[in-house]
Amino acid sequence: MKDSDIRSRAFEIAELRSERNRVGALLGVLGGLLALVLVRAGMSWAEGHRGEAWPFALLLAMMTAYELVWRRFVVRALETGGSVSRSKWIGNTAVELLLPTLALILQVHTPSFGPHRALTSPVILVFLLFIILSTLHLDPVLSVLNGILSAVGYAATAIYVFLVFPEVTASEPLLVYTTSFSVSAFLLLGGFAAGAVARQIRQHVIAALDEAENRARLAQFEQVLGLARSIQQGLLPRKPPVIEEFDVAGWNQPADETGGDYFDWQELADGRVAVTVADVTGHGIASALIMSACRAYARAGLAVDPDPQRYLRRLNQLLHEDLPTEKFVTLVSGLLDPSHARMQLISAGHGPLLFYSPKTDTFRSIDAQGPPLGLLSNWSYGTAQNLEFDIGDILVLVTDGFIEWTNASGEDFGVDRLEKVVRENRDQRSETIISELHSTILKFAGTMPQNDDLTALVVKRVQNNHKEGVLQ
Amino acid sequence: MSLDIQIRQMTGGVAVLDLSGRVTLGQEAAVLRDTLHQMSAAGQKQILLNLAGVSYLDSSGLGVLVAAFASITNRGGQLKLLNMSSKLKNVLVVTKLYTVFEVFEDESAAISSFTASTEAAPAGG
Repeated sequence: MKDSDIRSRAFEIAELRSERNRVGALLGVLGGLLALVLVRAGMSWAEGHRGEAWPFALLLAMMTAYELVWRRFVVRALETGGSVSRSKWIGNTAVELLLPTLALILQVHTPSFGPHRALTSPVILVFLLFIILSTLHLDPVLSVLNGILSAVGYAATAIYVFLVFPEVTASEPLLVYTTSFSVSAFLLLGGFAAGAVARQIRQHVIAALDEAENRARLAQFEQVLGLARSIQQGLLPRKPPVIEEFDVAGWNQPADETGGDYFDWQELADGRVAVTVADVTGHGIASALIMSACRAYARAGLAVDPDPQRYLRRLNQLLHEDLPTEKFVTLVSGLLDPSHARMQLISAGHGPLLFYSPKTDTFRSIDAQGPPLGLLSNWSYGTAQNLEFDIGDILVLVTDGFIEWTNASGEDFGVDRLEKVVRENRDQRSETIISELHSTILKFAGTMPQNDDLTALVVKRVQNNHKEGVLQ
Repeated sequence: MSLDIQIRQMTGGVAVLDLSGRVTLGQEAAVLRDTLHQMSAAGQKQILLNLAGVSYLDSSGLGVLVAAFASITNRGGQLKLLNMSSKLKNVLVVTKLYTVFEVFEDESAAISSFTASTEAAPAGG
């Protein structure tokens, strides 16, 4: 089903509902008129004569019956998903306008009215009622048709009167002719005015339907995004790794529903633990897809062959083959050997990499071993950096969302502020260092929104953490 | 917020592109990508990007630079960089892309470097 089909069906339903309401209103009016005419006929009956109201009651009853049948037809179309053809709409309009026309002709032949008064009788208002209610068809053509048929019905009655009852025009011919002509013209113009109103209502209904459809689509899109987010968040590790003498924590907060950053840890067959932080260019769905491909390659690569240089070379080549040009991933992995408190750290264009030693109160900044992943084919990465962890040493890996978040004065959060937070919280657990980083950058940014994903991973060597109960 | 590119064709076949503005995701990065692509397709082999007027370059802009570098190098051409701000330079240093590009501070030195080298190859480690 095409979009335009869906929309036209939605409009058809709106049109049928509107028609159901129109017929409902009409039935109310017809019922009221029938009651009035019946009371009038009953009074005549009580006064002992047959009265003149019965033909009108019969006409109204027939019309009411017709409208009940038409309403049933419309409701059925609504319930069964069917539609009403254009010829049926037009036919219905013609049948409905027979009512005031026949009522006028009846009045012409009713002695107490007579042809003269019939041409100015309140029945003319019934034509007008049909024209006004026709706007609920939401079809300008049908409203104009109502006007034309009303004018024709009235004019035909008037011509019939002029031909059959010449006495009507005998005394004041000009007045009678101009009155009849004015009424016809007025009904015709009324039809055009109703057509204009119907067009406006139609446009509003279409706009409302479009808006409802857009809202439904947006809701669906948001649901899909929410699902993508939960899947992506599910790829991040839930619990810190249990490593003797090491306290590891990671945290990620995407800028959008989904992000391009991730952190990870993975126990290798040789007892080492690999920790990884990566940042895919951009954020949002496209980056999230690349992120999951990158994570899968990285995990599989480390499991098969944990040599840092070969691992990055393979990862780069795989991503270079997969990624669109211009998209890339900066990634850092550390292979932690807990038994020797050593780590091999290797970075593909990812930085800054900060290694803090509380003993000397210094930060060692570690360079990347090559460019980001996915950009250049067959790249050979440099030798991994070796880090020796003393008790209290802290490795901080963050993505540039932390470094480049600017405040209202246009200043970056920068490496210096990052180092300050680490230094001030050096005695805290890794998890606390990250939460302090987060709260500090939030304070720094103030009202400036987060434009990039935030990811942090902290590895800290501690005294025997099992006794302290650091890890669950 | 836009990116303006002026092309100067120098004697010796080097085209100097004076960039001014921001090279960021969207229109700006696309303008640079298209310009470099058209020049390369038209047979321009030696291109020097003058980044003196570039106030900001995001990861998308960086992606465009590296992809253009790779594509021009593959066609036997050369893409070099001139007059980077310290902030921009820092981005290239952190990402190790500084070792990929040839970066110059002096325009005449940059232009003469093209004639000196006949073919460029990526500086793999």
